[in-house]
Amino acid sequence: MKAHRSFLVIALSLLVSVQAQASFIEDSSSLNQRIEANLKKARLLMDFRKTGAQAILRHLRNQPILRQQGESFYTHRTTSFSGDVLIDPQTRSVTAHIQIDGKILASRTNSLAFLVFLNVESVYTPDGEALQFSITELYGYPILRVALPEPRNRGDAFSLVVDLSGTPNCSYSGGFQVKLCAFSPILYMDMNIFLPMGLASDFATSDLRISIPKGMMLAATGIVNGVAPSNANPDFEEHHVVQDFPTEARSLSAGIYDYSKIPMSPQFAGLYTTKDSFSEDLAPKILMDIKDIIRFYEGIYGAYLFPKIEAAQITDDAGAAFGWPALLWIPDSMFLIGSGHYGMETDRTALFAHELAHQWFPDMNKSNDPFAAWLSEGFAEFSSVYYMDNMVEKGYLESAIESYALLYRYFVPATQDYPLTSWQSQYVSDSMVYMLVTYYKGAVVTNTLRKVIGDKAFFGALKKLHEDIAMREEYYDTYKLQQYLEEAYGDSLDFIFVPYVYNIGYPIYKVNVRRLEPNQDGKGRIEVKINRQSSVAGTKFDLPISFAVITDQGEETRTEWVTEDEKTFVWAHEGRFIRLRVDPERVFIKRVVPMLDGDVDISGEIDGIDLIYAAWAYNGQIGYSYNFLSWVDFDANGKIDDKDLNKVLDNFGRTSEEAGQ
Amino acid sequence: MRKARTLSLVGLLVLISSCDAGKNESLDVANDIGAQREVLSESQVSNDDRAYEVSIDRYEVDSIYTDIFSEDEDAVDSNSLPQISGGSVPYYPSPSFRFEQDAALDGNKVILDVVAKDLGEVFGIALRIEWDPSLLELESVNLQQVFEQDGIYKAKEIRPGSLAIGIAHNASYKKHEISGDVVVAKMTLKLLKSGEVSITYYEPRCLVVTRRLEPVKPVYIPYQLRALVR
Repeated sequence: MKAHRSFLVIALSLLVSVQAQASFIEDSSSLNQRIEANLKKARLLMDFRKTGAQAILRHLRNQPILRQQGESFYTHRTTSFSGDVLIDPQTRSVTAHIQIDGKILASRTNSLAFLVFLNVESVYTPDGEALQFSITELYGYPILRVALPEPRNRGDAFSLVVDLSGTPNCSYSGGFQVKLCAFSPILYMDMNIFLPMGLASDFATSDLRISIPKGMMLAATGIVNGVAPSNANPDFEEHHVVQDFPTEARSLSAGIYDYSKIPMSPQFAGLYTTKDSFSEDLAPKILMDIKDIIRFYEGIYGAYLFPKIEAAQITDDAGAAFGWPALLWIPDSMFLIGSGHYGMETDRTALFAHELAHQWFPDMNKSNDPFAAWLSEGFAEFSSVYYMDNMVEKGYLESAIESYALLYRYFVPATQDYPLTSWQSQYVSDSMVYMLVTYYKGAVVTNTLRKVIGDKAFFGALKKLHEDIAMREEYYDTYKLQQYLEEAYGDSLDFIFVPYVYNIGYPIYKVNVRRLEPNQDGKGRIEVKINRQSSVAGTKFDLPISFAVITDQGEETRTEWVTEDEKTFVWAHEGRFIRLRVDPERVFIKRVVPMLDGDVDISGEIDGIDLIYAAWAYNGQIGYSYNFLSWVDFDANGKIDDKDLNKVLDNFGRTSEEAGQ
Repeated sequence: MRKARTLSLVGLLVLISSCDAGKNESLDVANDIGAQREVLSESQVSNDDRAYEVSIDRYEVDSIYTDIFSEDEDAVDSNSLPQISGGSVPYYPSPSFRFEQDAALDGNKVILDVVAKDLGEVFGIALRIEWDPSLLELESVNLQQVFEQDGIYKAKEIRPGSLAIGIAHNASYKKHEISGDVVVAKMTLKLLKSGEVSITYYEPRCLVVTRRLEPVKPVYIPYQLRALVR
């Protein structure tokens, strides 16, 4: 009995000790690996989602002419495409006969404008009456303008037929570089290559007969209902693709595929894989992943409303994975992550989780915010790490979010930074910066919103958004998102949106902690002094910051609004003070610097623990070393150099009381 | 009964300590990266030449289940009292830190070894050693060269009665295997007045890590000192 009690004393004692340092140890174990991997990802995945005709639309909408003369371009919205298409991978040619049905958006509309990527041969009514048309260029992109026989008014229906043909320029260079298609050995294509595209965003179904060479399987946003010999060419087969659910965008891929599918009642999940043993082995696991991920997102974001979800393996020249509505494109090298060649299976799952999140953002929940790609990419990346954390690896989110915040802090100079929602976000020449800001910072800020308003309110607001706009001709933007979140939160969220979404930078908190004489009741007290700055001039961060006071009795967390540049708090605490953690749950992107030089863990004293961390991190470099610790990088130059180490060694044994801070 | 046993131990400890004196060559340095060695302790010794008679009582541990943290002797039943005579071999758990009396008593001074046992592969060691400063005063602390390779060695009394020790390799890829008993530091303490004092490791500020920064979790065994100053 006695021995048992003693054992408990020891165990408890060990627990306090380990707990006191736990966060530091955990932080460093995988964080550097994650930083390095994410940095590589940022460098590799250039033009990640800056591809596709939708991106061109976002780009065009930003242009002065469209902003000033929108009505003459935002003439209509297509509601249905139908017709015949022949794609010949050998000659890289496409021929299309497309009927467009839609509705007029503006009063007294006498012409319709379309973005096109093939030569337009003729335009006529369904009755065969020829219509006049012209091709002009808008900021480097060809615009088809079709004259209507008589002016139409808002809400009127229209129908016309367009014949197109030619060899599309897959790497289209207009305002910026985009990739829309590839022909060999796997054919993949943004269907807007042959479907003339309204500039106001189409929201359309489709019924297409697509002919491709015999033996190739076709994957598409719609469902392939049947395959028959092609009337146009005996070496081709005609695939009847029916998409009876409206979407903004659609795509296809075709190849010598194996196909597998599993039920996902009432829908199904399907997978098109190239004929090799690695892909064959992976297929069952990937299908189960897809199903699990979809089900998880349904739980937090609302129902999956497309009738199926499929993924197709494509070639690496795509340069990125794509989350088209109801169809993912996954390049070979990404598809095979974790198959034994390289990478871990979890990396592949995270990739699928990102792409599948696009089914909600923006495929079902459509954004019409031309300045805010982060609403898709930041949310998809957040969704991925949130899924991984909940379903695959506890702690994944914290580590990923911290690595993203650090990458943003260290690798995005203020001169290249841009607000998440801003016109500048559409003109980012450095792909890595784009990834670090729109994807990574976007994910961190999404997580910030979740942490601040709480899971229930956050996911509740997104479900409400989904209910209101998914699969409807409804759209949201940054402003509307804020409104949904504020309604759930019950208060303004300007304190997050203004500095983190509409501005750049992050706060820098210089923190000092000093032990005070105990209270009359014997309770210990500390004085916490905060000096607040901003990494960039002009951005003000008035934030509710949490402070975890760690004592030998446990942890007490206090949340205080830091709205002044100099602020001092005095807090009583149980037990004996050990150290302070600022923003322990990593809610905000920020930098914390100890006022007491060398006080790595903000304990108010520089001792052996500070020394261990400084010595271990010595020579570490952000993104390149396994041993970089940002909290030892006192001068924030990305390296733990002699200057940083000496701050600990020279001040060893000093306390903040002694230093008079 | 207990007192008699204690007194008989004093002579034995003095004898053993005399034999051990000078056995461990003290480093007495802070070996920074590329820096010169420096004296570590900043504590001062008063030149008080009053005569002291000291009796030392040492609690040794049979197992980690004994009441090593109990400071209330009445609460300890006689069966679990540490055995300190009769040729019993003390048992210390692995990995662990403890104190051992090293040198012979020298007037009012007590020299304690900080002993690490079976820590395994180690990158760095942070220790916080504490005592009642009204009873004891730190005169000096000599850090021992724990690592074969160059390392960083630092020690300082952060507050009266609270000594911080930091020992680490000077590059994250280095490690050193600590097996068996290894003296990490030698502390010379001056007894100020009679009384019973615990010399403890303050665990929340102690940390031992591998080169992967994984924590090693030693048992920290305190030391009980009884001083009678005439």
